[in-house]
Amino acid sequence: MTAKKLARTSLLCALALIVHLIESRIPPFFPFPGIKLGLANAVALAALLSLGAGSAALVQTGRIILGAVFGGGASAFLYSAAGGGVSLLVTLLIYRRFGRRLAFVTGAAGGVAHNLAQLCVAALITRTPQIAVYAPVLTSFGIICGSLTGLLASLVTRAEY
Amino acid sequence: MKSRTELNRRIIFWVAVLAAVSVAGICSYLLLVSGGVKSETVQILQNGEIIREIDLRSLAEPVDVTVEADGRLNVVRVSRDGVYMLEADCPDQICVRQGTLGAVPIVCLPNRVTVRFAYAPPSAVDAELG
Repeated sequence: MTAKKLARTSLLCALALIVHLIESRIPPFFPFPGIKLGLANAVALAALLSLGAGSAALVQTGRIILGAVFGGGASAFLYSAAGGGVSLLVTLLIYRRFGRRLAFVTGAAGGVAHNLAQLCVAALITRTPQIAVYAPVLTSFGIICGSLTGLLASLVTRAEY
Repeated sequence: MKSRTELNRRIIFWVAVLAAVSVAGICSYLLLVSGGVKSETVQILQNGEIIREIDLRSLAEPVDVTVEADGRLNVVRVSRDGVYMLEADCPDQICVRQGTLGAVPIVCLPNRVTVRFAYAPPSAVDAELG
């Protein structure tokens, strides 16, 4: 990794962290747990589109670890690590198939993976498998929010191509 | 290099697929929620263990059940007219805003408290969950 790339990755990581912290302060709009736009993920997606998979992984893991340090407790970290980790893996896999012009598909897949992973963690923590009834609605919102963040990421990085 | 129309076709295709799946998800959720409640027994769980079980038919007066988790409180109002989270010491207040208990359990994730109707195998929700 060149110094320039490392610097840009770090900048994006800082940006993702700020967005993550601000977003976690916004009260939820819907009476379901865990529905938010996921703008911090848009930053990781932008890193993927302009700098590549390695940078995206660094931005995402850095953001999750630092996000837990600066705010949120152990259980918040568990949720964001599960969601962010699974979503990163799915995002990287899907992106190889779809590329930047269809970045919204990548975003949607990442959003769905993020929400379902968090739902699994919630079911384990509360030991309430019944909350699986949220799976369909969390899938829908994962698609909607994920495609928007994917679209956003492809728009903000378009100038570079 | 793919042609522009080919790319547009792929974009339209995926937009349609994603839209269809999200609409299907929301619809099936609404169906599940409207599935109705087949049980008269309310269970209050903490960390996955039932700490209180109340038969709504035996209730004369509304009961407030207080659950403590690491110094934080949840107050569940149980009455024959409905069960809801009256108060919660958590930052997001999702469980309070969720309103009256239906087929979907009320879950307070920060305090790991769940309020649900007792398991009733014939209901749509439980069938879905296997």
